[in-house]
Amino acid sequence: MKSIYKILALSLIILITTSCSEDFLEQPVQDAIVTENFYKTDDQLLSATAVLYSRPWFFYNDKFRWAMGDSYSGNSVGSFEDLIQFVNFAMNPNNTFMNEGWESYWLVITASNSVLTAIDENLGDGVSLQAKNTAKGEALFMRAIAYFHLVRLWGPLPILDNVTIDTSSPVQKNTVESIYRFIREDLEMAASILPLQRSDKRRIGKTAAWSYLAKLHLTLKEYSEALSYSNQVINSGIHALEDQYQEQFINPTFDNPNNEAIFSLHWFVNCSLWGTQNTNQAYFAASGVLTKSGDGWGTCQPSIDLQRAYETTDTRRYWTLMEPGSTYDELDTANGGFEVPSSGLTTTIAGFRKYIAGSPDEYSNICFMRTELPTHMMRYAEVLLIQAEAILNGGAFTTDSKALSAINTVRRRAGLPAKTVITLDDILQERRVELALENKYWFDLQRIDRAKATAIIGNQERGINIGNNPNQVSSNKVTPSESDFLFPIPTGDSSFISDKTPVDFYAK
Amino acid sequence: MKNIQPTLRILFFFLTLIITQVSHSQTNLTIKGEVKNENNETLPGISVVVKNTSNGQLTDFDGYYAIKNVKKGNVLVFSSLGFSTKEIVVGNLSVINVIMKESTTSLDEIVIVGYGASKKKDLTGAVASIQIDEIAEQPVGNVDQILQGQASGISVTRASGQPGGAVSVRVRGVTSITGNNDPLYIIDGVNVSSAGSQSFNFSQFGGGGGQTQVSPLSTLNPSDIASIQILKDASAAAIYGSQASNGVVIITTKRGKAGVDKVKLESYLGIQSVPRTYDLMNLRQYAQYNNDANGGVNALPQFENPAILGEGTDWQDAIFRQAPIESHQLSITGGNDKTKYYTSINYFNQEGIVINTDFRRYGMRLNLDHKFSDKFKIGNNINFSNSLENVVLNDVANGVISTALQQSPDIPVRLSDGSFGAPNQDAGLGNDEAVNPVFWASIRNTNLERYKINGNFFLEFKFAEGLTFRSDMGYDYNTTRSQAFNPTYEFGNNINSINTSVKFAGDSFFWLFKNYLTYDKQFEKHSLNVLLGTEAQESQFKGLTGQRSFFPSNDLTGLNTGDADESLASSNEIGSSLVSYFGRVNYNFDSKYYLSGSIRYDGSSKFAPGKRFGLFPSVSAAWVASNETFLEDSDVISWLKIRAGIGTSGNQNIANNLFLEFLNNVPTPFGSGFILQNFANPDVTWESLISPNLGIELGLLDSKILLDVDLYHKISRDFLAPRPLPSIYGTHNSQAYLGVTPPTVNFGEMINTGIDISLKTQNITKDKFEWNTNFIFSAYRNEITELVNKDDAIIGFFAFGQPLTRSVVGQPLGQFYGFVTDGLFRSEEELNGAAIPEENINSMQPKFNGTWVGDIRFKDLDEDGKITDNDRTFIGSPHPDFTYSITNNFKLGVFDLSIFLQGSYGNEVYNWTRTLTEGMTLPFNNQSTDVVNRFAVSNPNGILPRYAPGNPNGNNRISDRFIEDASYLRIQNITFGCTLPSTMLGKNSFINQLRIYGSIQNLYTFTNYTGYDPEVGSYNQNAILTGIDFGRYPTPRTVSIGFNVQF
Repeated sequence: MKSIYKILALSLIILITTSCSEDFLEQPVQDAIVTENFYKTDDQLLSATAVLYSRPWFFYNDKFRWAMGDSYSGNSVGSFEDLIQFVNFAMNPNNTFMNEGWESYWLVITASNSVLTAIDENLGDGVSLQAKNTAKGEALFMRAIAYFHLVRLWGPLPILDNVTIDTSSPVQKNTVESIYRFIREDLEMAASILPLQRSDKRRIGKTAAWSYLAKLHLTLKEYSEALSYSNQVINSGIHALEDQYQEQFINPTFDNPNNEAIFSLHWFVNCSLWGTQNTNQAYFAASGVLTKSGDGWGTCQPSIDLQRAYETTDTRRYWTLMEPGSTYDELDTANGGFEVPSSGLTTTIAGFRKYIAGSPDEYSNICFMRTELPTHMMRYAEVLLIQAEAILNGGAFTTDSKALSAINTVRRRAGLPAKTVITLDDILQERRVELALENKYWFDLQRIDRAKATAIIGNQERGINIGNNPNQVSSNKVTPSESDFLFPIPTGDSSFISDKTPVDFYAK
Repeated sequence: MKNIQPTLRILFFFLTLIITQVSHSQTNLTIKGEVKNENNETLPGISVVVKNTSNGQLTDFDGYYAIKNVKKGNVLVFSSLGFSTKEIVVGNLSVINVIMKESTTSLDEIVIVGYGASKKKDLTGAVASIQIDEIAEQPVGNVDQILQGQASGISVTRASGQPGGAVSVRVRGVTSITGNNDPLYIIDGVNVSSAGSQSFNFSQFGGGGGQTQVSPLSTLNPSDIASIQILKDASAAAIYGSQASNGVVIITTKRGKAGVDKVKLESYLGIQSVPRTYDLMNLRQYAQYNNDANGGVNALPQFENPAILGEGTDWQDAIFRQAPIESHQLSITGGNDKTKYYTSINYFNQEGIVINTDFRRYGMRLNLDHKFSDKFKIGNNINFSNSLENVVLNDVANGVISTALQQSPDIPVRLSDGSFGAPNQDAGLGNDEAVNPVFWASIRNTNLERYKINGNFFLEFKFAEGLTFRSDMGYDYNTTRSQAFNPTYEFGNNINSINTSVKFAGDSFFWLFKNYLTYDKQFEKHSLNVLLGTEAQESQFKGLTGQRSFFPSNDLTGLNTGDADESLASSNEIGSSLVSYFGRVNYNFDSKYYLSGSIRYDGSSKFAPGKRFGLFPSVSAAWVASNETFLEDSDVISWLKIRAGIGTSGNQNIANNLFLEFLNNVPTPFGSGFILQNFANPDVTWESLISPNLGIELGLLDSKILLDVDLYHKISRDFLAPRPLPSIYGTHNSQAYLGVTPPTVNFGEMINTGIDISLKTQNITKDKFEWNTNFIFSAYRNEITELVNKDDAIIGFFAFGQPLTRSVVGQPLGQFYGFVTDGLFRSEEELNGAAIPEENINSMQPKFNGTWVGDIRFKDLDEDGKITDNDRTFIGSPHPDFTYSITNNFKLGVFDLSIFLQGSYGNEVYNWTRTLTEGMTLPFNNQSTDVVNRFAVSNPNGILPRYAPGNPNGNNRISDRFIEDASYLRIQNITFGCTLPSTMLGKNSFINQLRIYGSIQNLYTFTNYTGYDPEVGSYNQNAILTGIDFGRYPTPRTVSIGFNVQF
């Protein structure tokens, strides 16, 4: 028996000593990618910028894009509680749609910064200079676009150019001027290192950076720079208008050769994954029959004002709005097409057609709240209109042939007669209908003369039709106050951002 | 001391009891006898001692004893754990047969503390003990429900009445702000793994995910349990170190006893029903409401004359049902001096009171003890169980109960052809979004099947007198399978043309290996117990999820039959390990002065090297004043002990690898994309807790009255929680998983100060009539004393990102935060100049899109003339002022009656369900009958606000309108039984004992709460989302009858 004691005593001692090992506490990571082991090849680096075309923009695209771009600007209405606040200029600082847009922009910035940091600090030797330049250009561009939206919607905000987090004290805001300079420098750098010819036409090249530089200078009323950059895009010969206006908005498989799209968000559908897809059709489609996916709520409805904005022969009307009497053979194909009922589809009678792909009967990659329709952020048509406006140069009118050619190219495709003289109002009108539901109209109203914008908005009919009668309107006209031209900082973040006077980012 | 020899040891509930005997004495009598219990069963292992001598022995295997050297006039003391001590004066008889009564005082109870056992009277820390046979006859399906109302300081609330649903068990308030608050469960020395106790999250089929937590303990069979001990204060729990800050629940299963083989059959059958329902509008009332909502002019044709309509569909009636519950258990125990066994097989089946919900479990257990010699023994416990539950979506707007409350009564459950009735909003029929609740229950339905094999192998070796080595190898293996199917369907405008099947399979394996030495030494009046040990644990979880869509029919759900292009697969593989060293010293002098100290040193893989190890010491002391001479002869005070202790413990039940930065793989049209997933925090380390405890135990009148009072002050620190970050860093506060995950950091401090009172009285102890009362009272005050920054707030978001609760420094955790209502605007004059929501100030048509007569007047707390978010304040707290329970047990002859009342006072519930039933924003949602009395021009004194489409004034915003006092007193259980001993069943009956009983659970609840049930736990066990009722699955009322028969 004595020997048993010894064996047991010994085994206890062995146990105590062996279990000391720190190795036992090393649990390998088996189901995730640790950052420091990544960014070793061209493919890995470019996969990190591939995601910048979708996921971080998801919440921007989901509801904020159209609530801000179209409901706030008077193109659309709706009865959902958060949406009413946009329609009535009654923004609450915790409006969920606004909060989601805000969050989305900052995620784009953080994701871009994390790629830029990796390029500076963690890049493997196997990464080519070309891949490095492309990725860096894409990240700079995305960060610039997010700030370009933010500065116009919220005004002075902090510039974050790296991923360091610090909540020890509220973050200092930077001046609007320095944010615009930051955007311009990012875009200029991106323009210099991005390729001109894109290997994958869905990704951006130099023309995207030029287009936004044109738009940036136009917004700042720097017309000669705006003209010069829009000329660069047009003269590159890379882009042209599609023959048909509609295909790029309703056909998720349409990318041939996608000449018109200069920068778009590209979505991916898996019926059970969330955050990688385009959800727009769930809110735009005004009948469940159109999508057959459990959605089609008609949350976002064309305003009466937008319906009145079209010139009579404009073919874009049919492809933007769905109105009583119209039939759409390419929708509800299981029942031989969709005919809009005579009573209409919504409280403003019309529904939207743009950005509706249809049901799984029409395209395979459609399910509940999911399509792969790309979200067009910058199209060649807009570059043409930027060029025309830059030539107008802030004047009352222009008859410049280049300007006329630009706007008439857009009008011709829409079946409209050519203009011989154009004013700013003509350009704004053309932009409104050409770019409806593309988040442009609010930014247009926001950048033009404030009194003029206020008057335009005050005259908009934001009401609904009574009893589906096109002649009976329950009117709703709202005049914004000066403070409505910037959004409030969402409640959740306001305490983290200093309310001290913004400082010049470059002065430090 | 060397001449003292150990004579006998009997294993009894893990305890080695050593009685020593001095062999020399000079007298002449030899007394013999047999010791039995009240059921005429012989009792081995009873100590028989001549009083004031060391002359004694234990009864043998057949309950016999024979004591030599006894003088006439001596007193024989018969005692054993669990029995009342009996003293008999030796007279002329040389045969003294004794019937022992089961002990009714708990002081002699043996309680299992960490890595050992102790008599309750020797404890220096706060330990609650529940002996299961007291409540064994309750038809309780889950182990965690057993704990309810049984011990002070333990709050048990059912987060869902769903069979097998989650239960929030909290020891002494809430310990962690955002981490896990569940106690550590140890069953027969082995941790119970909670891995895989989640059901499918329906949010991926659209809508909310609802409550997905199920109880990890529901796979255990409550009938196998012998006792439960809860280590409440830190000085008792510190021996479990980094796992103990939420308290430790030690579950001990039944073990074999030497003696005749006993076969016991226990069965009950019951029927459950929903105790109360909402009063919703019938079809006539709904038609009138719908007409009014449509402006009174555009009545739907079918509603033009509401008076001629019938009752319509009662959707609550359609989804609730009378549901059976049954349980059967066969257990066999027996053995001899060397080998003892307990084995059982059981079956439990509970249908839910909501259609398509149920829970079924079967299991078997074998607990084996074998003694090779007095020095060496081994044991093996094996438990197997299988449980299968069907869970429907609940606790969310599109949950089955919520849809039943919303759907209008003008839709039939089924049409005449047998198909489901369907809403069609375009046709003015019902609410598309609420679908058909009965149909919905059949598709928003998932099943979860779990297999569990757990147990341990142990050996105990006695090196020398008092020095014992024990080694335990424990394991807990679980497999979980879950599946859900979203079929294609077409209901009016509700069309789903893509069916999707999801299947999940996961398994977890936990093992531990612990070794410890115990040294017990008694010299003169000094008693010493030393423990020294090591432990290693590891757990691995591996899960696979697969999914496909586009199945050719709704009958095929196997993934192979779906579209391969739409397939999706993912895996989770998680491992963690813990290595520990621990020791403890217990010392007492003369059973008067007690001192105890313990220490544990834990290393965890959850943290970065350098941050892995933590030290958790504790010290405690006690003074048994009643053993002092000045109290020894007191007729009144039979027991008085004062305890004090302080201890530390930790919490490491958090995600792995928070110290590393990861990239998230996101599919894009360009192939896999990778995006920053989280901010790493290399400094992340333990949550910790330090808590002093002061206890007084008072026994009066021969301990017929036992009072335990414990005061504690629990300071928990360094919570492991995501650091609140503004969205400017890329976090998404509305749908967090879509953004960058904030770093998990250690921050903050929270204090729970409380009192636990337990009062046990034996009111009447006549032979034929007994009456015992057990009163439990617990109260705590919770306060957050520190967050990262002084002004930080932790927001609890609910129902798609609405900020419902707010936790700030100086306030209790998880209070409701919102607006304060101040009646209604009843005239246009009242609206003039009144503070109204900021967004409505410029409203051109206030009746249509602004604030109008009949809307709620919210208080302008900051007095800036408008209602903004700054007008929110704390409007209610889910923390009770106190909780209590009273159990009365009566025994009259063969009959027994138990009445168990349980309640909570002063806690509030946010009744989110009423935003549906009183929301009044849509014409086609059914509403509560209270809505009839809403404000309208025709009803200017209406109590509820006006009907307001689009909710422009925010009448349904988070406000005190939906805060309700959820104090309640519940008649939780009444059991009436009859126990017939073999003597009454006839000499030749093969039945040894028969008990028949009837019981009603959840008989009635006294409360002002208007919802189904005031007992609302934490939403998905999240401490900052406590007390929110959103179509919670009500706890059923159960009427059952049962019998226990022993052969």
